[in-house]
Amino acid sequence: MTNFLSVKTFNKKNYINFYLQVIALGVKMTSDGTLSLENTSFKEAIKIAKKGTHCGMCRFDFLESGVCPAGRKKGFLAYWPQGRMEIVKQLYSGKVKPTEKIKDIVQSCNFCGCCDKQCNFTTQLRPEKVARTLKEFVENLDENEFEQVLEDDIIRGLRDIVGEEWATNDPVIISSYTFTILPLDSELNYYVVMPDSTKQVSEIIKFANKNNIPYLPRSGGTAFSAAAPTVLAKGLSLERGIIIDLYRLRNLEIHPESCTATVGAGITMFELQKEALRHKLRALAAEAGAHVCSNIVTTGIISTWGNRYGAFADNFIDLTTVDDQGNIKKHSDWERDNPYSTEPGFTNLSLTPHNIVTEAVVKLHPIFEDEEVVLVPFEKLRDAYRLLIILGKRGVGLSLAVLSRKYLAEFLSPTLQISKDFDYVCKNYIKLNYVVSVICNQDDKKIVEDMVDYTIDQSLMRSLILGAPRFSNLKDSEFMKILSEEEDPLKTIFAGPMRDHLEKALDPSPENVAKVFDEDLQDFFKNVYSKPEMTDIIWLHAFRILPTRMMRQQMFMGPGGAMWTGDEDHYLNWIQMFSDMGDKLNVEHSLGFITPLDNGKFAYMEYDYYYDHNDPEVCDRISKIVVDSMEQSLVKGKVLTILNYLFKGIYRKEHVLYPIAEGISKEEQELFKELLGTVLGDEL
Amino acid sequence: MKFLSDEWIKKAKQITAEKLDPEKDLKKATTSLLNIIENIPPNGSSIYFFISVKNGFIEEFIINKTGSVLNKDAEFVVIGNYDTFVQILKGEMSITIALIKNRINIKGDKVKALKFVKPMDKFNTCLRQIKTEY
Repeated sequence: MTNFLSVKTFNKKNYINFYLQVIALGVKMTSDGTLSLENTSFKEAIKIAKKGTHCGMCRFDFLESGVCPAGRKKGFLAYWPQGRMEIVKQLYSGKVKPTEKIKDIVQSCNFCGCCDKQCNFTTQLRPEKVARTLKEFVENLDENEFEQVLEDDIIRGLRDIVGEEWATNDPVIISSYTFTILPLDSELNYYVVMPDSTKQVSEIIKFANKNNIPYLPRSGGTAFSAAAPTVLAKGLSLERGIIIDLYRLRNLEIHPESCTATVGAGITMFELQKEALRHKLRALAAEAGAHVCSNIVTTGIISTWGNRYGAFADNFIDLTTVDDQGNIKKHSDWERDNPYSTEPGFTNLSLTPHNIVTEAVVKLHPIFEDEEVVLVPFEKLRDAYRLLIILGKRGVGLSLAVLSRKYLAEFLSPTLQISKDFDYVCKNYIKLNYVVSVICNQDDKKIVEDMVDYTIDQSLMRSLILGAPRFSNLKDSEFMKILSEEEDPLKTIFAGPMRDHLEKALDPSPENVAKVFDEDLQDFFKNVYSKPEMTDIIWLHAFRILPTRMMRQQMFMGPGGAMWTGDEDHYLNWIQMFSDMGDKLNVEHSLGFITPLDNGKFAYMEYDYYYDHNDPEVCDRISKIVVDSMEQSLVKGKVLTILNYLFKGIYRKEHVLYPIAEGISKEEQELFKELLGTVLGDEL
Repeated sequence: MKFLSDEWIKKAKQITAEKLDPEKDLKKATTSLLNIIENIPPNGSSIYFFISVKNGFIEEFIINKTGSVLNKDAEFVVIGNYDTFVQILKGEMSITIALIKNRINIKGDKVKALKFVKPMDKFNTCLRQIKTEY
């Protein structure tokens, strides 16, 4: 009786709780209805699911591997790989019980393997294992173990608007939205509705108002997933009510003659960029998984291309919006009040959108035949920053940024360990701490090359990507130790004959980089890395499929904001402030990137903190950093913090960035503390 | 008693006048505020709730359904749904959260408005003492 227990003696409620508890301990239900202490698949599934960060990269086809057919067909998050992972977590926690709908969810997965390829490329996870375990779990339940979900007037009303299959109050489906719009401790008293038109969104809002039910739109959910483990969750999430999932608004039309695109709220930046590229056009690039419309609303698209292509309302020529009364409006409606201005000042905080943008007509930009990438390596941040701002003010380049060593290592490396070793080699041997990354035409390239002693070009970057495993192996190289003693190791390695030796030593090839992936995926990744775009720095900058690698095995939080660039010391001291906070609170941290805005008069900076989002204690420290960094930034002045950025994207940058904010007074600081204390919790 | 019924309004005026300390609770504030509560069930009507305070003493407390208080020159106007006001009065949602989540809109100087959040919280806490059926 030590290894086998009869389940027949348990009643329904006890059974499920018991089953979940024991299966989590590595217990398996055998064919005769007993449980044995043999199977550890559920444990492994939980481990994978907990590492999931809801980056949303499984919802579009960025590797040409196909995309989850069940998710595409059924829409609700529960049918996507990230949703299945969340369901497993929620079942394990006991927060949700199996319902009839879960049968459909598990049966809809045909184990095609798309999710493993996509997720493994970005975060090294294998979500298909989770899907298999979930299916096994559900198939082993007795028929009477599934809870029935009753209809109520609200769900009937929502179904009248969107059709029977596109509205649900099923707790399993609702639970899949945890972490991407619902707070971790929510009661699951929600409805999810998936409209396919602006008119339906309008009707849903009118219906919600009539019934006094709060609502919140959801697109990719990536912004909230980063905030979910922190104090920001309370302000950003929906506490109850209707989740309006905008995925089905999938209109996408390119208008080459006007260099514009009409984009529905369900379209990701990757999908837009791919269509634009067919016409030799480019959109201002947010991260690949961000939905275009919601990214415009949330932050006005923060991008390294922003100095040239614009920011905030520069991004679009028209928006279709639904306001909080359900009224449909367009920015181009000539008789409406000015939709481009917003209140100035630090109290203008908004953690949810004022309007739902259902469709945008965005600007696209020409791709030039002679575009090139040039990267300038630096040891010191001040030198990199200075070059960046000069280039920004002179209008050199299409994409301009200081990228940290950490970013380079994370983006270029196929695994977490390789990224750590890559980072080590850059830091300790060659003193490569920052690069100024410039994508430009040939004229601009000459300008940059005339300003500096040495650069890194596309060829060397390709070698670093395909030779990343070899490069990271240099960690134990005696030669690198000797190189590190040179007066200027960067110059030695990038400006002389050493450069050719390095490229050869890296032995860059798709075969070599593919070898570091799981054995069953190596052929696939060899093909992936054989594609020219996977080593094309311009393509990678425009399609931004690599940043989610920052979430390998852990979450990150990236506070920052846009600061006036008129005082170099002021700017660099601000960055130092973030670094000091990371040291003080013992959280892994690094500058992310700096990119100029508004012809170099401002520069946006992201400072990243890396942490385990399953550890409540470290989440508290991250929360403290978020709050303290914002307060201290406001005291310093000349800055628009990321929290003040939120949900200002539809306004003109001139109204958001100007007048340049002065540092807040002592009295205002106290008021701000009170404000945040009320919103985020006094304990901070 | 039923929320916003004549009986409730009478009790609200009485209890706030009796229980709120002008200095401790209302911080000797001098201001005026008009709340517009929209989408009140069952027919989606609105209610207007005007309050003026001088040195912490409540001078006017008017609740009506006609909108006649719209003529009052309030320093702040707060507009929101019935459900949001109920959540605030029940203590389920703070005024600041409601503001940041765009559940209420404030017209007026926001910095100044924030200074009155604490006195308003006291006001709402006082109203919570009325056994209310929402």
